[in-house]
Amino acid sequence: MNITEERQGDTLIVTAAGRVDGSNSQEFQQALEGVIGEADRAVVLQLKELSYISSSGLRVMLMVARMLQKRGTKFALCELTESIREVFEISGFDRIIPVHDSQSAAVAAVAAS
Amino acid sequence: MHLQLDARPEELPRLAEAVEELAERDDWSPKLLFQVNLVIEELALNVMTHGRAGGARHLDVVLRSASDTITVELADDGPRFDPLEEAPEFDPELPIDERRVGGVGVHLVRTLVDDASYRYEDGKNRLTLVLPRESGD
Repeated sequence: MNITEERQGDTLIVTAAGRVDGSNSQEFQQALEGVIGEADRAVVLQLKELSYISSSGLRVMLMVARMLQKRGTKFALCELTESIREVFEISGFDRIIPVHDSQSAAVAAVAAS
Repeated sequence: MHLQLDARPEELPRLAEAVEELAERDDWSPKLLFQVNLVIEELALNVMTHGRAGGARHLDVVLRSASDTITVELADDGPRFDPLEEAPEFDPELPIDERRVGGVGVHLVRTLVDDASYRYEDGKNRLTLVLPRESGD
């Protein structure tokens, strides 16, 4: 699992790559909380290079989404692989965190809202 | 494939590697590999956390590949527990504030498998799960 970040205007784009499972989900959570600053008002999580996620990773997504909601920070995901999209659909997580097909659509959505 | 694991989460990468090796040999689609990994991890992690807290030390994982199905067998020496029946109820419709993650793993498993059965035998929890191969295509 690897996390990188870049900024596009006022939006923080965090790219997560590799596997997130029960053996490294805490590391994933710490990495996300480490790169997202309190001053960030819009965050997009780019998942095109994420190859695997289980419920341990979903738990982290929920924690991060709640943290950002409390701060009033906009949050969206983009470019989920087919299998990861299926996990989000089955678990209903696509209904609590906005999911977009492209990074540009996600950035536009968090900037506009 | 038959793997004997310690009931601790640090074993998950070794388990995933073994599943991946079988998938390569047996020419699974990436989607099928993902689903088999997910089903095994969700149940294995239950044993490695909740089961371990109750005294589970070992987990055996057997994978059998047939032309139209993949069969997963899990056996652990933890307290008697049927996750298919006893896992917390999961509601995928709840809003973000009320959302709990407990039960989501078993909900994923139930959705992805064609058949699942549990029995307690010789002091072990034994789960058998059957995944359809075509769902991977």
